[in-house]
Amino acid sequence: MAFRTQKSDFRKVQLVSLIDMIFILLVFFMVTVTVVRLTIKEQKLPVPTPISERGRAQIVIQLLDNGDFLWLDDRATALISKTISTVEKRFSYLSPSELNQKKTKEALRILLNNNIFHGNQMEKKLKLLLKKANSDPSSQYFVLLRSPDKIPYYKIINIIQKFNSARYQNILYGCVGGNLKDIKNSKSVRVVIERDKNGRRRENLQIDF
Amino acid sequence: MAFKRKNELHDLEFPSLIDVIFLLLIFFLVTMQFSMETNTARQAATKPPDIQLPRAKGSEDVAMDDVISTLLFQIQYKEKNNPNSPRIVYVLEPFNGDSISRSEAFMIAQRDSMFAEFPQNFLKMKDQAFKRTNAAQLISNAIYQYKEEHFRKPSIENTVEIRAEENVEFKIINYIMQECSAYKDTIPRVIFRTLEKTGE
Repeated sequence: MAFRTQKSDFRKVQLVSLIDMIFILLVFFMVTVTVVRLTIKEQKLPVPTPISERGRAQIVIQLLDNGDFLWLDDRATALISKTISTVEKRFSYLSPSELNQKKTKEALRILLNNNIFHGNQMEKKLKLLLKKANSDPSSQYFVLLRSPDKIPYYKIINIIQKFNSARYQNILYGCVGGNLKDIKNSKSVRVVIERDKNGRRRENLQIDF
Repeated sequence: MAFKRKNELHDLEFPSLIDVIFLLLIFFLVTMQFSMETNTARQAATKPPDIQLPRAKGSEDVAMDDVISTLLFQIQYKEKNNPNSPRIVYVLEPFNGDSISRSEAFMIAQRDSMFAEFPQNFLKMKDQAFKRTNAAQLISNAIYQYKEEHFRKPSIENTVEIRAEENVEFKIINYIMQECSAYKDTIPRVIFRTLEKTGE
């Protein structure tokens, strides 16, 4: 008895169709890659809307017209805090308003003498801040950036994008207009102690303009 | 004697036909989009001039380029690539609440005269005098009107965008931010548009 040969269900892959399919896929991916490159071109950098409150922050960065900048961080705040306590002790006989004037004058002297840096130091300072923020997810920094009117837009972007690129998004920032003259003429400079969300003690510099 | 005639006409292969149709479909889809872009480019008056945005690395991607989904202020030089020429602010906004392309929004802004030039000496102006300039008035009115029409409730989504040339002075940017801060609860954020920084 002869058996019928079983017809195989597996057909050969047709070469023409295979080439067609490969071409379709090739064209599809070429087009989508190009379109994606074209569309993801611009980016958005969010900046909180300024609030009309006293200039209080952990780190105050004041840009200057000549490209230099004033950088007041925890080190400067500690020094100002120490100076204010010394003045309070030494001039305790003065009236409250006179004492406040004296404290402000001394604080401003410290603040303006030791913390103005050359423009090319900015990158280094920002990198250090970013390193500190990235090394500890529980830390939180609030930075106030003040800029005079004639500073170009790209300089502000360069600084804000550094804050924004913190790994744990723990650098909170604000950006306002202002110049060094405002600080020099400020009514008072104080150090305000606050607790952050993790209960850590934080010394904030408060400048009343 | 009967002759057997060999039929030379084969049946059309169905899979290949579909492949070819798909190829043609993709081809026309793509070419149509490109030709639309070219047509827009031809209309020089309607195409927004390219401006040099600052570059930033840590910012969020714009999902769809050239789409205006909220109020956007575009500040550019009057003369292309000339930072010494006066600054002009264009008010670009979605059309009837629907997102539209930046080209269309720019065309509408030109048609409706929603643009104004800052005086050459705006940096030296006192705050009050600066506020009275046509450009500053345009900004204030645009923010107020847009807020009244679209930002009825406070929300993190309520944003105003700024798209400015690299060397545009912070005074203009700060003015827009201050105007938004008048509605702090309603407009909590301002978005700076940048380009992606490459090569680092």
